[in-house]
Amino acid sequence: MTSRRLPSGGLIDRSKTIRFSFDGRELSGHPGDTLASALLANGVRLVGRSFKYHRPRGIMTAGPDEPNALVELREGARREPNSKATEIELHDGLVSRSQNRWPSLAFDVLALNALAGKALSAGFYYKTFMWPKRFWEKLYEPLIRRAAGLGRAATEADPDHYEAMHAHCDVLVVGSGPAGLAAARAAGEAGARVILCERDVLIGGGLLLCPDHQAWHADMLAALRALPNVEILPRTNVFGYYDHNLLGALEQVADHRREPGEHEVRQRYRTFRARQVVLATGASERLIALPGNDRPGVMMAGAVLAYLRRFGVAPGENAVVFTNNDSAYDTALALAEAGLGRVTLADARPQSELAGVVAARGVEVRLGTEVAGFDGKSVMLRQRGSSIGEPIVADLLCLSGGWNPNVQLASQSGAKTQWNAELASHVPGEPVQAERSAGAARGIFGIGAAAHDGARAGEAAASASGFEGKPGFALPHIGRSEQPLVPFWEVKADGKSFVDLQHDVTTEDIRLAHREGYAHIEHAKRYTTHAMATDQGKLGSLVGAAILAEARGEPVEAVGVPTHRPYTMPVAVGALAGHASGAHFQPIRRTALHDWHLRNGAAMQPTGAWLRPFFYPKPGETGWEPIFREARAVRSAVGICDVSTLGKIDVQGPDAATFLDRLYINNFSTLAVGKCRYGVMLREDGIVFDDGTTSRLGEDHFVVTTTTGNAAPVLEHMEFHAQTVWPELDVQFCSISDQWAQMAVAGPKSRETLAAAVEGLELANEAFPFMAVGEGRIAGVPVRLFRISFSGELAYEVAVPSSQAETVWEAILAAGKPFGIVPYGLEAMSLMRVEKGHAAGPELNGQTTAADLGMGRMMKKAGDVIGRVLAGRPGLADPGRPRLVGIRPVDAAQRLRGGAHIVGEPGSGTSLGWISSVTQSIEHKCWIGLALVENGESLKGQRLFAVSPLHEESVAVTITSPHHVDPENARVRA
Amino acid sequence: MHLIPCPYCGERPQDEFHYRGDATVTRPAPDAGEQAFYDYVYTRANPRGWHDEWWHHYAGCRQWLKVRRNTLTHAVAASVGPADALPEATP
Amino acid sequence: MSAPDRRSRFPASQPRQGGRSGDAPLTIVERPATLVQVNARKGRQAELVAAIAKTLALALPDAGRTATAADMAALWLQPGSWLIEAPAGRRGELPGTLAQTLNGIAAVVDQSHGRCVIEISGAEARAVLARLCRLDLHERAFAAGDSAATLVGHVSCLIHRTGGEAPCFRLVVGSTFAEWLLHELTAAAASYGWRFTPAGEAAA
Repeated sequence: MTSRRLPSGGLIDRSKTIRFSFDGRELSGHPGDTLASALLANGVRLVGRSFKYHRPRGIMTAGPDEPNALVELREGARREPNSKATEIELHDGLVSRSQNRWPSLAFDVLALNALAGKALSAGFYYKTFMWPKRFWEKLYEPLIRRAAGLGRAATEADPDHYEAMHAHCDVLVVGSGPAGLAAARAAGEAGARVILCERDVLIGGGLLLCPDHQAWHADMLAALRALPNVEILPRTNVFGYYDHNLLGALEQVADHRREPGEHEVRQRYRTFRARQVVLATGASERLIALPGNDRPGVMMAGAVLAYLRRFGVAPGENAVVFTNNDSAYDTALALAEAGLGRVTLADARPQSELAGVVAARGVEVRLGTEVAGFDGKSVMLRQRGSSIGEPIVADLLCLSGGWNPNVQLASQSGAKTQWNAELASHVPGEPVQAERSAGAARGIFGIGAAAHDGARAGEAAASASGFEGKPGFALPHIGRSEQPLVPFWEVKADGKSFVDLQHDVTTEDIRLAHREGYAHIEHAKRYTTHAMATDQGKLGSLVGAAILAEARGEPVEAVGVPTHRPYTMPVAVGALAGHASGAHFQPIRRTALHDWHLRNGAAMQPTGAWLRPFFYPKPGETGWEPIFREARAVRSAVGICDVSTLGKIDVQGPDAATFLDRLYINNFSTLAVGKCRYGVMLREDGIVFDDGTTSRLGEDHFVVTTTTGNAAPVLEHMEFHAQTVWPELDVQFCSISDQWAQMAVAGPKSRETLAAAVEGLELANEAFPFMAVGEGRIAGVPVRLFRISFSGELAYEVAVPSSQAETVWEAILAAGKPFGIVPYGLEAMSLMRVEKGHAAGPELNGQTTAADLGMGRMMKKAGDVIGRVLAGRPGLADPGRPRLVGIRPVDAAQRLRGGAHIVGEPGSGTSLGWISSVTQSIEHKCWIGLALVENGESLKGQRLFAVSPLHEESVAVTITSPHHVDPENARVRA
Repeated sequence: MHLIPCPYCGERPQDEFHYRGDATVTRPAPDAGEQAFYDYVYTRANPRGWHDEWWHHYAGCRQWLKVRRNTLTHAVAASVGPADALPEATP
Repeated sequence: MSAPDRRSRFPASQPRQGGRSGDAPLTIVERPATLVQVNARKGRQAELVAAIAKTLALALPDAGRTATAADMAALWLQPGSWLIEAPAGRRGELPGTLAQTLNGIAAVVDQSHGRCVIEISGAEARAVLARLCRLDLHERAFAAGDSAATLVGHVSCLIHRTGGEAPCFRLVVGSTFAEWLLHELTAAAASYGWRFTPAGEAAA
């Protein structure tokens, strides 16, 4: 394997050596190399196997259009498949492997697919694997899975960090070639805030390959770096253009290192909100379809120029350059300058005024000539229109079928593309959003012409965002105009001619698609998988369209191109998630008592946005033991529970009572000051929305509590009605959920406990009865007390300014110590509410009416109430609807399961309802539950069956009142 | 991420808002009957083009805004506060 | 005797630091305050503005702005609604005083415990916020005294820029979200480094 590195030249640092490996071989390169240029410099020609036929493939491009050189990078948790070798900055210790070959790259068993090519034509999955069916699982699927592998993803968690960052600017410039640089400077000098994005590590685009313009390039860079209002972002690829001038990009912060530095992210997802956008995204060279155009040794002419000029690598010994346009003449000259054995230029055009110029420098020019085939060692040349070929020894075939402006972002922004016959390609049409294309991105080629176009675009963009100023810097002169190209798509000769190398789509596949009726470009694309791979088919997309057009007997422009959608390049999902994964996935709320819970051994669990104590296990307790202990303490003595997560809304104003009367099905205008009342709120469609207690602190002052989960929706619901439906009401309200911590003190000893702690409030039953509200002090802290109960026991809730929650909590614990007070968690609370028969989340499930929950009689007789009218619809008022009931197993040893269906007989397929909540009851010493059962009211005392097919269980159950304990509600009033 | 212009806060990203839909329906009088409420809750024109919609600026000024948005292009022509009226028509 | 007002919303009320040790760490300071929300009664906004001007010498600001006078500030919340910020020492007194003064003019709601004020400053403060917030906080777009209710780290925050040359922002966030927001801020500042100072225990 010989070194292909030229003795001098290129933008690489030859004073330093970088070691890396490819398929286990230790190789070396220089800083400034890409993995592709280093592989080429080391004489590596074969870098992968194709997707379907497993044909040998080599490096074809020098950038993001690369279809072949996909490699697996790094190892272990950082292993990453499908990286384009042409975009990977070489770094010390880089480990890379070829993909899609088995057992090895040189000897690939599945290359036999190539011999069975007929069977693998377009649509073969649809046709071939239909029959016989049993072969699918055993044979076809494993085979396809093995064959279709495009590298292996890591199976361990990604150890690296990612983040998102949002920027704003007056002018966003995408691409830093001559047009982009000039646009950024023009806009920047006019005073606009400018961001310039370049996907490459080096700023300059096409300027990097033009030694003639080095001085201008350097001057532009220095000027831009001196402008404080211009930000330059290298390694930042803009992948999407979205509505309202938002663009998305990926910044590869640390991909050029073995691993990111400490506290450094690996990639950064960026968004840009720009007043104006200049798209200076350049152009992509297109393929020519001809037999063997996928062989290692076939490269795009522009890419070869990049390897010669930027990386100092000559990718072959003898070269043929095949073109239909002027651009490839540069490549031919550069090859000749590099001292290759023989350089032949085949121009499909019959004449070229450049022929003499390149011939004088040692390039053999063949005009009116085409390439009829390439086998890796020789190129078959022939006069166009002739069938007689002449083989020429060459290991490098450079192709240029013309240039396609990179219109993807313009197209994503909503601008229609237009056909440009001169370029035989699409250019961006009328802008829909605030954007303009410049330079090669709109078909203006040549350094000078593109720079002038960019300066104009930058000036216009700045002006449109309010910054006026004529560009005051020098621009390169506009060179000679190019000779027209001859549209040229395909050389028809024997052998496979590819239009999509990554997905192995041939010209024949396109014609087959057309014959089988997939004549629309979108259909042909999906039938053949043309242009659907990681390279988005940039090389051959238009070639495929041209071949389809020919088959349809229409011009190319009549066929169109498939819609451009984000992303213009593959982006890792991890990068898009950014920082928002794991514990940072969504906001976590902590009550004011969170720290106390942690210090006291609570088992904390996420419930919605909150972290809440489920129970406080003591050493040695397992399973339900801590839950039973906590619940027993409440039922027999006293417990304290953090209920701060309830939503709390302060409602004031002369019309506050009227407002609440319309929100709830029951009245609050009749509530006395110093009392609270349970209320039920409906949605306008008649379904129960939320419930909770509302307290009247003053004539015009209420505090509403909502369920934890509905705190935000209820506030929005109130705002909607106050702002838009009844704007005439004088009512003011706001959330006070975080202002007040709240704790339930429950159990027969709760009064004695609080009496020992509270100052300034008489708690005797007559003075402070059930549903009373008052104010007092605990440990000197002003508190609000509510005599309400969720557990079914004598109970109070204490609201405390949240910064002082711990002081009050500790004071209550101290006061309750003689009675054996315990803190209790969500599980004990849930156990007791099921025993008591209170509806909660599983019953307020967005399907139940107030009547379904046994609260139909709460609806007031008259007055406007949200949901009243539609709750009266026959379907919702049907007495046969599932009703809330209690449920217990006939055999006390059997368990109940939430979600089990209720049936009349074992084996019956007719469900009468379902179990919504279950618990083990400490009062009944068995499982109990709540259920929603059709005609439930009339089934009380009856024996039915709870079936859970998932568990293959059928349990005989009795339907009861939902109130498993104290149905007379005596305890809460004690 | 769309931009919704808020008459109080200026242009803001769409994730600061909750969407409620059709702002052309108005809640009927309490005695208007079942059909009127049915239409208020369920019956929607689902227009292609300009549409007046409720957007709640929950992370901002907490106002229910009326926003005239084009369902085809996502362009926003106007937005006003909850008690204000959008302009008659948008060409 | 009144109870200790444990003002910090952060469990380990100790100064902390983290991230890369660089020249321009993000400084995060918890600034306890007295916060009172005033919501004008229907049609009484002008009276509210006049009453606040008279009693607190504060000119209630328009949307998107803050007003300051001596050791107090007023932040616009929504039409007819403002947040008055005063030194933490006035927690026990200011809400009641305002309720009396504004009786019949505005609903007065104490939010001193419901909101946490976090001040962030440092040369890279904007770059840190750009990771958490989609608003344009560039000096051309968000001047000293500007304020905005928006999302920071996915939670609702009132953000305002204090005076002075150096970037300094205050975030007013629901106190149950305070620790989450601190986590988000420190993670976003990891590449610059950060220091955090919680509020101290207040005197009894």
